[in-house]
Amino acid sequence: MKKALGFAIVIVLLLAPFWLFDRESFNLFSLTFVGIILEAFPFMLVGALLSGAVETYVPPRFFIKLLEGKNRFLLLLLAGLLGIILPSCECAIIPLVRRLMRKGLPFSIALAYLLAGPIVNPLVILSTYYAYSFDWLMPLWRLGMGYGLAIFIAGVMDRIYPLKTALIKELQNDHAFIRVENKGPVFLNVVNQHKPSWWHRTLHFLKHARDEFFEVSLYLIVGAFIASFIQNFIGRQALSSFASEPVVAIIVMMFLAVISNICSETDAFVAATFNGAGVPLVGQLAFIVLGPMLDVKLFFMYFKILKKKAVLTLSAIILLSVFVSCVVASRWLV
Amino acid sequence: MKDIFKYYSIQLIPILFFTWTVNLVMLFLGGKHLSFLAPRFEFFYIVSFCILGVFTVLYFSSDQVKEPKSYAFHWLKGFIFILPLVYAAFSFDAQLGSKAVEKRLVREQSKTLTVTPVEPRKLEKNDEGLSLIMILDNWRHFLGKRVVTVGQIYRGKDVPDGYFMLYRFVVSCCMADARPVAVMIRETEETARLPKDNWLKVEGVLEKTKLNESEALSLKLEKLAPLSKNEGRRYLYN
Repeated sequence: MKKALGFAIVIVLLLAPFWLFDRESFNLFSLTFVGIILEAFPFMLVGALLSGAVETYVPPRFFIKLLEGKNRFLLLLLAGLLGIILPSCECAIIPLVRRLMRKGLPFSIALAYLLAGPIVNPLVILSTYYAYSFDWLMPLWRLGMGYGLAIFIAGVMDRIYPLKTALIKELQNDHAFIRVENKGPVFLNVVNQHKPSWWHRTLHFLKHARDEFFEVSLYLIVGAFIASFIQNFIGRQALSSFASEPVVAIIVMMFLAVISNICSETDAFVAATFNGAGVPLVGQLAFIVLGPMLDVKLFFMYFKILKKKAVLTLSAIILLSVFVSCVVASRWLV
Repeated sequence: MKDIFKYYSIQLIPILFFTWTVNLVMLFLGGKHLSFLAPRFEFFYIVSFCILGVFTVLYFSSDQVKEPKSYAFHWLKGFIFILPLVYAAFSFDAQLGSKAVEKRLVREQSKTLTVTPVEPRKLEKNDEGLSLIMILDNWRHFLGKRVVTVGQIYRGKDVPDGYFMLYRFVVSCCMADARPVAVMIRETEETARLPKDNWLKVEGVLEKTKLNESEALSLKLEKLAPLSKNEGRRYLYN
């Protein structure tokens, strides 16, 4: 009975825009919602295919062997730059990172790539350069701050949640290692001695990609739905009108970034429109640094990687660190 | 009855993958995908339905679909997965209008116009004159000159009395990043009769106007021609 009631409530909420809004608001909601999904799907599908490839073709302990004995901090710094050779937006990166972690990629390193990848990325830097009238100031600030914060946040999260304690059960068990009474990692996976044919491996790769896509897309859909719903009630002009003070501007623009759910490759165009509205550059910087790390859809998608408590911790750390760094940056960037 | 329910529960996800693929293809063939995405995204859109198609074939060819652990949860997942298509079905002919302008317009607030143009665009004239974004991006060049352009009418709370705004939406990738660009025009008897969101072709001189103690770009109207709804024109892209 409880289940049925919960189910009915969810359906009513999901269909609410049909009768809650007038036709114009419904169109705004619907076009935004479907637009976000259709824009994200190709990247998520490619991400899922990469994830399937990692699952099928990368040996179970590959990353553990590869990274054994290497300087962890140096690896963290390098992980933040992975977006340069593997450029992808925030939606594509989640399925890929899930799989990399199942193959033993340490949590902090995966997180550094997850957070920095959508910013430290040639396409994103170029689009920011273009949006800001071919001026390097904002792209460089974005690149520097995004990279630095990703490394910092990954390091802090690793301190709070050592090894794989932040990860959901599914990612802790498969091919990965667990800590046993502080005696170092113990490998759980048993490598299959029988080598399947290339056809079976291809099928496995595709099936895996498909299942991965389906699971992650549900979180994307719920996040995009909520974000589009909120956008119906909040006007950018109303918010920006009291955002002339740097600290207020940072807070307002961070809020906008979280609810807007704009892809990191285009968010600079939206941020630049606030230029003339009296929003200081540092507020716009907060918008383009925070958006690729945390917005409503990403918040929901993080649940496919992290435990509830870890998602909340990560979100709080991201918000706080973006805010503090932007306040510091406001000394130079107004 | 129970068997039918069980059968459809097991086949639910493959059916939904099939529905997604077919609908994406149909939207594409009808050009309706452009209601949600910019044309530059077409390649990625095609990639989407090709991969989804492969996934669907995989379900119906060799795959053995597992029985779900919880039927309620399984159906809920299916419902969420199909939701964007439900909304797409109700809005594939729709267009962003005044409501979206109200929520997304960010107006110049400084005392003097400070919007610096991006690198001058290649000015491409067509039957409808210059696009509004070309004029606004190169406003210094067009100040005091006669221009012809097309847009829609917006009359919101933030538009001063006696004026309306001529707006167009500029889209980079999808409707989430669509942002309006607009120019003020003084209301005339003829324009006052036209409803909001009506398409207009206007000819006039671009000038600076003082509105509420700040400057804004306005168009001194010389000629105007109301256009019928849409006629294939939707958004501007950059």
